[in-house]
Amino acid sequence: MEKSETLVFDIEKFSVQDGPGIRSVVFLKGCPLHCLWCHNPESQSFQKEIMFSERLCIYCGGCQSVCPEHCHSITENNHLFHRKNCIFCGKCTEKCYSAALGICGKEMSVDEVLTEVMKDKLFYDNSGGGVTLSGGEPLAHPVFTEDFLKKAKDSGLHTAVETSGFAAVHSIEKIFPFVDLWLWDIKALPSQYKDLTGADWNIVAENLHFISEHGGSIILRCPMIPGINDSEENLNFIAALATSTSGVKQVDLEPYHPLGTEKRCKLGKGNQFAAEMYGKGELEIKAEQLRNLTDIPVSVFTI
Amino acid sequence: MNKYQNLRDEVRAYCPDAVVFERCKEKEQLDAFARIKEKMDDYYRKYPDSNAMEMRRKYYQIASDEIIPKLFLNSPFYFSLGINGGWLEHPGTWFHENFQSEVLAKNVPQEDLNHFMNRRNEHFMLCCGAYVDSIHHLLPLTKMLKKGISGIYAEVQEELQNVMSEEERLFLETAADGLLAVQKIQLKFHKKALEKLQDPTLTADQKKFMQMAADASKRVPWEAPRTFFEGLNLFFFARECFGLLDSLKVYSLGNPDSMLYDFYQADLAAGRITKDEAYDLLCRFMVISDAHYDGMRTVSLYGDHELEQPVTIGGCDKDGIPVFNELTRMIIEGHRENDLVFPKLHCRIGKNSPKEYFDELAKDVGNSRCVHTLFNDDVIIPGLISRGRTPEEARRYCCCGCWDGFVDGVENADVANYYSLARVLEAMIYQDPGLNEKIGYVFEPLDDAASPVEFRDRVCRAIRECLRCMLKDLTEYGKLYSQISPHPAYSVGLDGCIKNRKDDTAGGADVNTRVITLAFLPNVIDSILAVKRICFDLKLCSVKDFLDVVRNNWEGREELRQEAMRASYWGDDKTESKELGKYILDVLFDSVKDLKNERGGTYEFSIWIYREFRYWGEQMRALPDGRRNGDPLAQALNPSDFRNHEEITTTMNALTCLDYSKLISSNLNLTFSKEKITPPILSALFKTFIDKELHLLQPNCFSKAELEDAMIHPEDHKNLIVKVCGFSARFVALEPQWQKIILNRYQY
Repeated sequence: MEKSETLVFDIEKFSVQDGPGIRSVVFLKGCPLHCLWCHNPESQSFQKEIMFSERLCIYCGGCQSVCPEHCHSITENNHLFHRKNCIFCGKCTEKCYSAALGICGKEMSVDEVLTEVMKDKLFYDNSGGGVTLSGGEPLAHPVFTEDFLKKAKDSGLHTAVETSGFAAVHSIEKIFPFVDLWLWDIKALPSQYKDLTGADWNIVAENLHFISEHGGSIILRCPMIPGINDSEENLNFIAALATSTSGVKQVDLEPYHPLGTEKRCKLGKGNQFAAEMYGKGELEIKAEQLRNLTDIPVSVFTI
Repeated sequence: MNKYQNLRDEVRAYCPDAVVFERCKEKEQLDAFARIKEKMDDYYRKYPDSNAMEMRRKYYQIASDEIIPKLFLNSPFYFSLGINGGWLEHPGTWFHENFQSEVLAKNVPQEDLNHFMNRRNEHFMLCCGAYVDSIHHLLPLTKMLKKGISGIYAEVQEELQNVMSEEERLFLETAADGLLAVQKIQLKFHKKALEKLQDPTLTADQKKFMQMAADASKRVPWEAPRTFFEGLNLFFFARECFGLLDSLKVYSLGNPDSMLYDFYQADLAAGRITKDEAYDLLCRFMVISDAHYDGMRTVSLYGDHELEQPVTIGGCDKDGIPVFNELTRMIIEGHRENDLVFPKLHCRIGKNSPKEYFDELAKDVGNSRCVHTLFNDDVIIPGLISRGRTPEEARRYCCCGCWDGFVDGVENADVANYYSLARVLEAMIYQDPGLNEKIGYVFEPLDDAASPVEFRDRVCRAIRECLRCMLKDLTEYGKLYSQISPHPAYSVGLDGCIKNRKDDTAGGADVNTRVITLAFLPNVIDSILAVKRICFDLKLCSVKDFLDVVRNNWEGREELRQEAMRASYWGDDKTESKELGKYILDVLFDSVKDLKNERGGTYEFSIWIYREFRYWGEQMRALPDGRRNGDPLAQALNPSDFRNHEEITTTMNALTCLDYSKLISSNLNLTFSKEKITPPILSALFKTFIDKELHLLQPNCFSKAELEDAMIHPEDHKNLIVKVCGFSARFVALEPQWQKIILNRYQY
């Protein structure tokens, strides 16, 4: 049986865009999808990872001196990081003066995460906020997610789950009673879903249907990647889905941003994807087009 | 044209453009000032043995004879004597000019006097006066509203029957003369208003205003106000009149919404006023305040754009029921509608205040109208009660100056006595030759500290002992202030001075709180923790070697600086920083618990800082916390801008580690990002700040892009108002260095 602890790669305090009010967002590490444009590539692997930015390195040699596997070789102006030998002990990251090295992922129990999240309870209460589980893909951590959400509800928190919806329906059934709001990613046209994300649209659609049928409250969140999934056809699809799914209360359009590009480099994965960012007001035009297609409220994210 | 442009123009034509070091432009009044000083000089030459109290008595007579009142035709308020509550140089300064040097020279050994001056010049301490803070005063507004000046006068007369000495008689007779002088000045306004009414060129509105002034000044404030207008006028009038007569600097403009609500209701019921007329009065009241200076004039000197005209709103009534009434709404709305910077809006607010109140403040701040300070009633009232005020007294506290709340008629605000904790640390690190002699305190070196506890304890010992050394002088020589500038007319409004038959400056009041304002605590906490990390936890180098790096302004040792900045710091919500913060404060509380101040009261503490975080910072060298030579110091309780990387929730959680009711006041000057934070979120943050029992909040909210654009296109951003520290200003009026400081503040 999976332990009720998992890899967390960040707990973001004072989030004001991932559900109503002031929230803490718990990012779980590991995702079955591999969206081309993913802005959190460090969330994809289910393992710890080392992020390395040579740009920040001051070649002090601190990492080299503590690494038990000799992964770092440093010359006067050159730092080579041999990842394949890395055992993710994190010693180099602790020694790094300049934050060039950082470890991504920390094993945390449900209680540990909840303790951290509960520190901001008063902020949630006063703002109508709460906690949002995000990722990676929270549904890919079913035991942790279920246990956490149960305890969060017991503690009086408003809960949201940000998900791709790509999971076995029974994991959704299990957590359904403990989720107040579903932030449901719609990433592409059904015909392109597999190619662009690695996920099967039919599963996503069935799960969305389940949530809606059972009275769940849903916000569709649509990353808009210029030239990839922001065509008129995409907007028509989003509008139709929003209109036909009774649980959908709102549609959020999220602008593409290239944060993932640098992160991929830091993870040693190279840069696999690049797109232009929207100019000022361009996404708002898309939102207006969408508003003309559906009565469901449409909002635009700011970065 | 703005509805109040005529009034604004009239006030602007009268007031100086800057605030400090200039005088009003009314030649008639300036000539009167000169005559008053001349007559005082003549009298003193004739009677050179006169003491300060005798001279005060004479001064009351001369000043009230000679002073020329000024009326603004576009407003019914009668108050202006040309001194703005005492901020500008005025005839009352005669006492400091004539007695201060003489009294100090006669009573203070030159060496001690040198120490006092050097402590100020070397930025260890700032005392706004001669061994006492002589510039922050709060008038007995509640008493004056209830019984008028004549009521206080009657009490003085009655007590005169009981005097036991000539000194007591002189005090009470002088005070009585002072109160009569107030009446005389009031009647001068009456006469002036009647004269104005003869002017055939007056508009209908102007006639109405002059008639209001003439009618009210016939009796108020000698007699208690009977209407909302008369009560409101009292706030300006008393401030100006007592400022002139008792050489005070009086700041507060009262609590109009709570103090005057019954007057307003009675006026409404009697048909004497409409809601619109009350709103118009409040707008004119605030426009006069705002127009006291030119808001577009560049802030370059120390005191520029500082009016010290705070209005207190909100809070609660005598039974503890929250106040957020029609007047509160009008003040907020009028301030907003007229795009005012002044008066400062000091907003008393508590956990039971209505959501609408939080929302209204958030609406302004979220729109970059940052003119507010939030005072937490749930901390301040229990604090006042713990210091001996009754619940009813505590609930009526009034915010004066930039950040302090006191009970009018009971407490005399005395807060501008800064003590720089960071300067003590700097002196210990740098061991400048000759400094110990200049200051009168020997600073122990730190280089050979053998453990983190020893390092901490040496710093704390110096902070404690250096403070006690300075307080010894303040206590001893502060007593002399009664020989320099006694203020009997003001004193008899304070509880105790009449029955004790003694001036406030001589300890006549029942309550004699003296406040020491602690500066730069976060820099000291962060520095101690950085030394602990570098020298003892990581053992990267010895304390001496580390301090050598600091003394060399971190030159060539950026990696060590980065490592130092990885230490726990104030505001990170870690046990280490919170425990140290509490520990240092406990040391300080302990250091004064056996002391009595010069008037027999206790020493208390505040934590905030005015513009010194910049100016003293410019002079201060690098510290172990990672700060470099000349960088700004931490503002009050704020985590250091250059260290902070937390979200607002973490900062607020961290700061709950202190018991703020033990402090007179402590301030957070927080900046929020307009891109991220909407007014509803701001409102929730304000509420949480209050619920978490934090103390004072001066919020800013803007977008950096907007500020950058304002630096290039100031004409497009005139409405952008930022809270600089204890005061607000239009961003485009700030000199470039101030703009840069605002721009570089840590943004949540």
